[in-house]
Amino acid sequence: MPYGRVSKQDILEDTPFEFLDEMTTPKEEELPEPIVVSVVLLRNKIVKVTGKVTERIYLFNGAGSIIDDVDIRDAELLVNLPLPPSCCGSFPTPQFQIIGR
Amino acid sequence: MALVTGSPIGNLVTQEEIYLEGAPTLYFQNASATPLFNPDADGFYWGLSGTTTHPVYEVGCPVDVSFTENVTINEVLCDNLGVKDTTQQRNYFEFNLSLKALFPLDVLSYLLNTGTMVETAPTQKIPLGKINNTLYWHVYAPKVYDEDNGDYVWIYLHKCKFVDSFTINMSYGDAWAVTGLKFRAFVDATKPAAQQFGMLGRLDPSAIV
Repeated sequence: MPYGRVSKQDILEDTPFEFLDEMTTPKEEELPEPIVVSVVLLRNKIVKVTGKVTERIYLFNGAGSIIDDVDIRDAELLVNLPLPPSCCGSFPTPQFQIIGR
Repeated sequence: MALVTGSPIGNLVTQEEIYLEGAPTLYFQNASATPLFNPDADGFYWGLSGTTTHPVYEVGCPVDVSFTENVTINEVLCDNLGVKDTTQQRNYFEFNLSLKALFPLDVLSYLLNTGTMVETAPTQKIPLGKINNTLYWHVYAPKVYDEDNGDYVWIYLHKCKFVDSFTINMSYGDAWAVTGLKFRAFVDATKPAAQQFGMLGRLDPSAIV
């Protein structure tokens, strides 16, 4: 160990036992809340889609249906879903849109 | 032109040396949505603007497109003189078409008058059941006839329904085709009487000055 550097092991060995647990395990209230957003479906269909990150199932029921608590990591993947190539010249819009936090 | 050709004299209007070719692009949207121009500066109701609840759908790869009308015609027949006149009443306008792009199924479900599509990746399902007779559509059919200058014509119909029975042809070596599709335009009583079915327009800055 070069001079001036302290390893994690050194810290653990020097720390009183009662404080160790606080250092290594974050308290429940300190865990970051998942950031959720509202997502709207822009197609008139019933869509059951599984979040790619959380694996939560979101059920949209028709055009304009909104789910208010979509994990932002799922939402960003939803709105960026690749669209199949258009047949006849027009450019389709994404199927989902984030409308607020 | 000299009179010897038989041309009339006096005020005369001739038609332009412009010919249209090919089918327009066909769009439709739920008739609950307000038109893009509602109305425009000239009092015409037309155009589509897709909203969250009422997207605009494009009919993919249409073929054999035609625009027609249905008119009730009765002759005024006098038994002593013969036909003195003909009375006419317009019943509806109609787009007839076939199409070759079947996907996605949610667009096809409207064209075939089926139920709402259910999608659970990686599947899409549409129920084949009764026809919903309360579903009406705006139909917008623009056709650009001069790509360089952006000149175009368009047909806009206020209140249409997909009518008649379809056929899906599944020929060996040929793309599947949905034939027998008809957009039938009915009277929209909320619009001015002169344009109760819709309108036909043309934009051409070089010719219309």
